[in-house]
This record gives sequence, structure tokens and C-alpha cells, in this order.
Amino acid sequence: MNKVKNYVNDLFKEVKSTRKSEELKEELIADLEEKYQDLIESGTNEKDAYNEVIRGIGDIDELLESLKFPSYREQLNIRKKNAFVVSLCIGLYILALISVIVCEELLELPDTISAICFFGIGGFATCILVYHFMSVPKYEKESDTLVEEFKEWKHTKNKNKQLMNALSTITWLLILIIYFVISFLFECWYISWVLFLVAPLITTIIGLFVGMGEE
Amino acid sequence: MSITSDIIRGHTETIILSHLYEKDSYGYEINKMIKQKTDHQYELKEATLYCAFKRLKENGYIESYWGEQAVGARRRYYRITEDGKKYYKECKKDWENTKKILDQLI
Repeated sequence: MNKVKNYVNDLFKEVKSTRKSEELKEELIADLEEKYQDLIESGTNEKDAYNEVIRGIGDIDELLESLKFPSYREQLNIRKKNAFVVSLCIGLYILALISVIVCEELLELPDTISAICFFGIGGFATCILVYHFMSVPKYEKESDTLVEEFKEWKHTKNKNKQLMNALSTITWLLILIIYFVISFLFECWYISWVLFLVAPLITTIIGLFVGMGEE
Repeated sequence: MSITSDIIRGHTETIILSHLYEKDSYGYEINKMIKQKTDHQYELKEATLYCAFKRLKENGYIESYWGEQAVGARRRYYRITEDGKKYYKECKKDWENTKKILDQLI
């Protein structure tokens, strides 16, 4: 009986222990042990029963291989979550702009209150974006083959690109917010546009740091 | 026999669904039923069975849950979903069609 269990444990030796792989192992052991028990009860001797059970497993490599990668469904879920977070944040940025217009023009509240609304909502959205993209799971290395290393390298590259995109979006939106706030508060529309020259400077500097970090 | 197995293997998912249509079940029980119904002529490999479970689950045709056993280890049971029932009926219709055509040809 334990022989069957040991055999399955051996099959799973190379597989990373995850909830999914442990559950599959548990299921397989339970099924095989019941089959073994049935064979013994029907009068097969232990050795033949063991051999028949093992032969009955078939080629399990494909199944074990599939445990390594997230399924299509899981990938889809991650993408959906990304899309949700990004749209939520863009919505919040727009809301921030609207709130200023409402505070200033309709309610005629003091400038400080509209500025607080503006930075509050915008800052909140930025926090969500940054947190979300920092907590997205990283591609994990499975074995020390060249292919895996290449995959990981490619993934890091893509991830840096993603990070850069996120950062530059955030920078541009922040600049836009600051532009409106400063312009409204100090009535300095004639000069505040200079900010838009600062934005590419900032994104370039960030890009430089990210690029240096990579090396 | 090898041609027969090949043809049967192509319908593994339908066979599983047809068993789950009757009642919830687990891997070995399904395989046992297949063996009994075919009078010990045919049996699925565990690898084939679990791959089929995985595909069916990913397509939303079956769901799994852990059921407690009175004796021994807990078992993973499978249950057919509404989508699965629809898919099973389509597969069955397909198979009836194939059978008719092959009967005419062979």
C-alpha cells in the first residue's frame, strides 16, 4: 500500500509544491490506493497488483508540466484585475478634475478646499496604481535551463517596460493636476505651461534610473 | 483493439460527462464504472482521466469539491454544471451523427 504512495511521491518530486500540485497528488494517491485495494480483494497478489496500478497511470508528464504554468483562465483573471484597477484610477483622475470645477465654479468654495479635493482624489488614485503594479506576481523561475532563464529575462524586460509605462502615465497625470491647481490658485496661466516641459524631463530621469538598476 | 482505444480516447470527455450526468463521482469510481460497463475491455489511464478533468474544469463544464469519506482519505468529487449538461447533449448528438455516417460507409 505504501509502495503506491511512495511511487506517486517520487513522480511529484520535481514538481514545485503548490496547493494545486498537492491536491492532484492527494487525489492520485487516493484513487490508486483504492484500485490497489480492489485488486488485492479480487485475489491478485501484491506484486501484480502494484504493477498493474503503476502501469495504469500512463504518461503523466503532460499533466505535471501543466501545473507549472498558470492556466489561461488564471491569466485572464490577472488581466481583468489590471484592467479594472487602471480604469478605476483613470476614473478617479477625471473625478479629481471635475471636483475642482464643482468646488470653484458651482459651490464657490475657497481655493484650498478645491485643492485638497484635487490632491486627495488624485493622490489616492496614484497610490492604488503604484501599489497594484508593485504587487503583481513576478514570473518565477522553475528550473535552471537556458529556456527558463531566457523567459525570465524577457519577463523582467517586459516588467520594466510595464513599470516605465505606469510611471510615465502617473507623472503625466500628476503634472496635469499640478498644472491646473497652480494655474487656478495663482492665476498664472501665462507661465504655468512650463510644467509640461518638466514632465518629459522627469520621465527620462526615471527611465535612466530603471535602466541603470537593470544592469 | 488499438484503433478502438483511439476512437474511445477521442470521446473521453463525453464519457466522463455522461457518468457525471447521473451522479457526482470521483476519478477511480468513474474508471471503475467504465470498466464494468465495458465488461473489463476498456479502462482509462489515470493520466488521461485527470487531463480530461482539467480541461473540462477549465471550460466550466464540471466543478470539483472535497468530500469526506467515512474511512480513509478525503476524495475530490466532480459535479457537472449546467454548461456541462448542454455540452454533453451536443457531444452526444455529434456522436449519433458520426455513428450514422460510419454505418453508411463501413
